[in-house]
Amino acid sequence: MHAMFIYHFTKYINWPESESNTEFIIGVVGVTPLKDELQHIIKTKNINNKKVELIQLNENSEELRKCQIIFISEKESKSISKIYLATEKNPVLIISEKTGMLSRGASINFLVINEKLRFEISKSNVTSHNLKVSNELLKLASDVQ
Amino acid sequence: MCNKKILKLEFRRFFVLIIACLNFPLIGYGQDSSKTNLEELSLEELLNIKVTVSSGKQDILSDAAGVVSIITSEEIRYSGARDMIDILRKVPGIDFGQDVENIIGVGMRGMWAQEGKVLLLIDGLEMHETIYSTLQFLQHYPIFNIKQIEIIRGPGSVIYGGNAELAVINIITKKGDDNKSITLNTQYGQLDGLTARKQASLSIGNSWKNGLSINIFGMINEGNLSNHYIEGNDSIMSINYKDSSKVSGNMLIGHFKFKQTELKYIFDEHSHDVSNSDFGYKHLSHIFNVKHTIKIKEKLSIIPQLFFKSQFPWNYTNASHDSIYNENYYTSRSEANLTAQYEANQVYSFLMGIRYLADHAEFYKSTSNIVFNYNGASKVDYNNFAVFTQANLKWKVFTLVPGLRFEKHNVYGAVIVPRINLTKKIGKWNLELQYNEAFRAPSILNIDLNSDIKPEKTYDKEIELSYRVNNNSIASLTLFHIDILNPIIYTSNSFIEQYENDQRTGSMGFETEYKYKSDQHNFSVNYSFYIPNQNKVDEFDVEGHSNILLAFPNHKAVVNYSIFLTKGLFINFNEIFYSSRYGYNAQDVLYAEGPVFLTGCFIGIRNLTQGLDLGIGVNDAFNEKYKFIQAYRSGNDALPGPGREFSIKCRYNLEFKK
Repeated sequence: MHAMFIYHFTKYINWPESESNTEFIIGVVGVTPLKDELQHIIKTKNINNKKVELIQLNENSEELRKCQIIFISEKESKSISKIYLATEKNPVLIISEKTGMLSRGASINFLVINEKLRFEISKSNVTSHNLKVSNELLKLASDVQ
Repeated sequence: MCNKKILKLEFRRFFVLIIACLNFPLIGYGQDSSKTNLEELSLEELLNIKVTVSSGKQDILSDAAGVVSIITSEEIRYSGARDMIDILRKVPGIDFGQDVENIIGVGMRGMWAQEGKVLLLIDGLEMHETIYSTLQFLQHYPIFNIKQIEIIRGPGSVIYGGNAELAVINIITKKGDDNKSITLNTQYGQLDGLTARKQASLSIGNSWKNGLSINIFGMINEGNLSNHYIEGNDSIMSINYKDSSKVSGNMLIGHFKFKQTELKYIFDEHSHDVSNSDFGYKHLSHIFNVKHTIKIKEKLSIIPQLFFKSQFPWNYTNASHDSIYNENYYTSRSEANLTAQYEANQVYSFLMGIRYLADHAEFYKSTSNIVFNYNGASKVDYNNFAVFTQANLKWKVFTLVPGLRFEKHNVYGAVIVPRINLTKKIGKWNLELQYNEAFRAPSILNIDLNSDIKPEKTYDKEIELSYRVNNNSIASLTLFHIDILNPIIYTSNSFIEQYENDQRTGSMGFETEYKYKSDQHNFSVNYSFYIPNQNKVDEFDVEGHSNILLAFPNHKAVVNYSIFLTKGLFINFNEIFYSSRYGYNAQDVLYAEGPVFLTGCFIGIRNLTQGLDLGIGVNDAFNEKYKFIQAYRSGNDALPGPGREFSIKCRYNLEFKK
């Protein structure tokens, strides 16, 4: 379910054009079944007309800067500050799943409200990574900061 | 007569089947969980899917699997189900029996639940008629265009009121947002020498960027409930059901939504024969609902709604009977309610609502000056006011859901029902403890035939334990203990109907289920068991058998398995086992029905050509002829079920260009 949300987010977020990137890279920090879910999705789907590569990361990985999306699992939430600093000047969408993560650098944070999956967005964190977010996505968010 | 050898063989067949099916994951494809459905959804649609936990644990199976059963559109599509009975009888705890006049009604956990005890909603709209609060399961409830069916297998009175005493069944149809297409569904069923059903439905839906969404669904059906011939003797008349179990049903469901405002309309017309009679009944309903959602600062939603239900229930199809019985009713229910939902944060959320409803009934096409007993007039009006609240407190240690409803009726007075639900999750285990009070609100005629009638009250305790084996499979066990005090009991003596509050009844037992879902496989096996709990109602009692109630078996087991053999070719196999049941016939003689195994198989091809599905199936393959037994001692022979039925289904879906 989270993986499908992430896939849909890519339709509403604009990454700056880069000729060097032939692949769209999603990094996953922490052990989470979401990686398998994403793996399943990218078998049949491209993002922004690019093949999708999925990589496992930790907070010290050099590949952090190569990613277009970084998902930080709940258990690895503590690493967000370090990841945010490491990718501050890169066009990376940081997605988390723990309360309070927007104030610590996440661009999108998953929430479960009334048994339904919701997400909140930090518009400033998105734009600080040189990304553009569509108003449509902002409307669907349960909270915009 | 029960042949023990045959029974043994049947048992062996059944358990070999279970074991074979349980082994399939070892030999199956072993692929990842099914995301196909989710991949077809937009982000807006994904936002409406219920989840329970963070990404690490949530997938296609809900951890609330024990007490809440969810049946998805895809499960129905590939199951070969012919009608709502086929779908619901596979759910733990749900059974069917006969009411009167060829009507099939629902039972829950061993108890007869036909009159106002199990709430049936279509898109949140109550489908009961309000004269007796009955439901008629006669091929007219739609099984196509369904998004999903949510079944709360326990009381829901705090939120849903006086018809939700034992369970809530909510059929959620596809709306314009879900269904940007035209879909035609047809099915034909053939019994031995008789058409079981001829059904066609058409659904058209679409949505637009300006927030407008429309879906129209229409269905027509004609069929027969049974092809049996029962030989009479000196004291019993012969009954030829081939000529006297006709049913027909037409339904129209319209859904219009513009931004935050929704308009729903349901037209439900169905009729049925009465065996060995020259008359039948027709039931007609028009149900309207307008709903508007006002969002205040994202966290607070206020939802005002108006409902109007106009009905002609239990109207005779042969006009000559108007003068005999003078019982052609017209009823209406007007309702206004206001619900507020406040999601303070991830931990606290609250729901609060008020509801006012006005019931009206009058004699329609009456040829004499018949009046209601309650007021001596040809029209009667009642009203009801309710306040309810529920909180959802997701603390770290556990989740607590307390709720309370207060309701006051202008005749039967006030009712208060609380509930409390505690959930604790430990790793893959989920433990849920529930205490629910619930009630059955007396219907218009319950009051009219006994102005001293009081609501019956239910006290329900449940423990549910579930274990998520992995993202594909979950096992659950639910224990229940139900006490019903002052049950409202129907009695009939020389055609004089009467309702009265008896002492008490109830049941206790357990339900257990294992589910496995993946891209190729959809497998479930469940088992339900009940025994009576201090039943003092003679009408439900089986003389000489204190461990069982009329009509419903102590044991029910279901195996349901769908497999995609290739991308398009699928096959479903289902088996339902009912242990012995008891009933009283028209001569008030006790009889036993031996164990029954209902075996069904459906094979189909998805996307034979673009958008076209075809399937053929057989139900009750071994022609066991399940009988629908009257669940209260009131002088009706069992209604013989249809027996072996061959069916063919065709679905064509044409998607609109995006």
